[in-house]
Amino acid sequence: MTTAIKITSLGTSGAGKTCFMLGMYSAMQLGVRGFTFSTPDLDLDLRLTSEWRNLVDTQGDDRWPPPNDKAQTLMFDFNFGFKRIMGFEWYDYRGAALNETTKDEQLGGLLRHLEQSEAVILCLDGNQFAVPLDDSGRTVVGARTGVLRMNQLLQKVRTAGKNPSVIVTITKFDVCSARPAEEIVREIKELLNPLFIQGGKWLVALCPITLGRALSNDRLRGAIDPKNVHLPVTFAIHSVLSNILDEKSKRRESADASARSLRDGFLASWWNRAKIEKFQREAEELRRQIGDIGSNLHLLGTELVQSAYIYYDGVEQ
Amino acid sequence: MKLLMLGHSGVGKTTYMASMYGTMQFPLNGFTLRAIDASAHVRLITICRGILAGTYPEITDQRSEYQFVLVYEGEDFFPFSWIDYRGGALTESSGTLEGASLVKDLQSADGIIMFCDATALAQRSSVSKQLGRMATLLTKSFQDLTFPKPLTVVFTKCDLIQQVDPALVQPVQALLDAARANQHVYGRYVFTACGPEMIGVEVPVLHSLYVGTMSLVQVLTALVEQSRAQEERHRTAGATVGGLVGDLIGVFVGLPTHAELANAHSNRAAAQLQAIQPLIAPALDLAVFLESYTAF
Repeated sequence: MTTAIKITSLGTSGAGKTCFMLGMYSAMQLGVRGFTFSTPDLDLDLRLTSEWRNLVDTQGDDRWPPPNDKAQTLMFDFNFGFKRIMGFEWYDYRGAALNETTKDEQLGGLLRHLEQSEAVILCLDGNQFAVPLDDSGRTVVGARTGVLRMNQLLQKVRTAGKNPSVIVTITKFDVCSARPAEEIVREIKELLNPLFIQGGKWLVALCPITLGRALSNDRLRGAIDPKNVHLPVTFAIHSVLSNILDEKSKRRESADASARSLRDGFLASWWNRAKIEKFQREAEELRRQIGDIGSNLHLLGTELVQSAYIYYDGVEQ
Repeated sequence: MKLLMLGHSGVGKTTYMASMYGTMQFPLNGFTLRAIDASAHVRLITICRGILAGTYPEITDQRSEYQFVLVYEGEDFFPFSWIDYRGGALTESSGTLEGASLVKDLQSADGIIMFCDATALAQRSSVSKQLGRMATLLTKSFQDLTFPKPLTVVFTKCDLIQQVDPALVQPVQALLDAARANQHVYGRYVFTACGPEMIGVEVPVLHSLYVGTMSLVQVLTALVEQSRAQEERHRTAGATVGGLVGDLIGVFVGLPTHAELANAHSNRAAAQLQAIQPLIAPALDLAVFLESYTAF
């Protein structure tokens, strides 16, 4: 299992994409249930670790990284027991690019990455959900969080024949933690309605995340203590592994069926013994891989069900 | 066997190494330690004496490699090298000489001894600062493992904190879980103190060498089994009509018979078995000593 997948995060400027990525990496350096993140490039790890340290140690405006002015692709490894299960490519870009025209270079790059992505992470600023939304509030928040644009881009991806899983992260959830989570989930489902309609076949997870509960009172000096930042990518990997599992199961069934059909008939087992052995070996190897993936999926799933809201084809799972 | 110490600046790696060396000049379950180079012996003993008197060594300013031998019952038993890095090397880019050398050592090391400052861990705020980079470096070292590799997590300066209990391990628990999930990583952690009273300093080196010894026993046992399987194969083949005919033809063209080949494999198995014998007693003694320290 050495596949590398592409993940794109969509969010307006200030939604917290970069801070979320730094927090996610920091939390997953140590890991959860034996799963860890690392970077193949040790110098990238050094940079991300140092930026995260700055966020943790610094108090005042300097603690938050300045908005991105250029796009960059970051490569990560997702490991279990320090062994690489899968790589993922993360596209980080200037949030304002979301509202540019398709002729602009950054949005062009973003679209190219998006159309090749196996998972899309939508970053919605929790500040926009601090109070209940009425009809006019919904329109304003829809524009501010960029969900209208996100809906368009996802439609474009679907038209291009791709079917990525979508993870809606409510960043800075500390500022709206006083509200019932179910209420916020309902509002987000209304804003991103196309993702939740039956027949749409979208696989969607909603993950509230925060870099620290104390930040709601004091974002310049509050303690950094991230919660749930690992869930979005964990969900993305889970959905990709599920697809791989399905595909391998089909291949195993086909190998088993081929071996069975070669055994039919007088002397067939003897005449086709080399081919039968080849199919049996293939089926056995696939059975082993399926076992490995299955146990990883089980562990990842256990982690996800505790804190994420998961929907498929509009129905909560 | 090559052991690498991994830890940030000021965590106490050099202090630990000198303390471990000084302590292991006195037999422990029959084991002592010897430095190959006399000047290294003098240096480490001098530092250890200072530590016993309450004077701690200066921070290491460059990578050093020491050659040691673990001695069992007065006989050299297991040679190994020990690499001490300047803590700052952990946060250097791979473009620097020491940064590049660390990456190379991480990949070629047969065992890792990871140091965590217990006083810093007790104040939870600095956990990510201490551990994040080390976790990535560990991944680099363990990612493509195909053979057993020991990992010892050493909590230093335990004499400076009020209470040493399993809660101290909690900040690194996720990392221990990742190590546990890898069938090739053999982990153990230990609380240590280096000062007038030395605590737990022998454990990291003895754990690493125990895994090294057991790994060697495993390889030799596999070779014995292989040789015995070959012996059996030749004996069976030699007892068939085809085998007998083959032997007769072979004699004329100067090829060994099945019986001769079986005997050669039998002798090889006996020699391999003999190589295992001297490892058994020390391995058992090491196992008994390590029993009371938590493995993961």
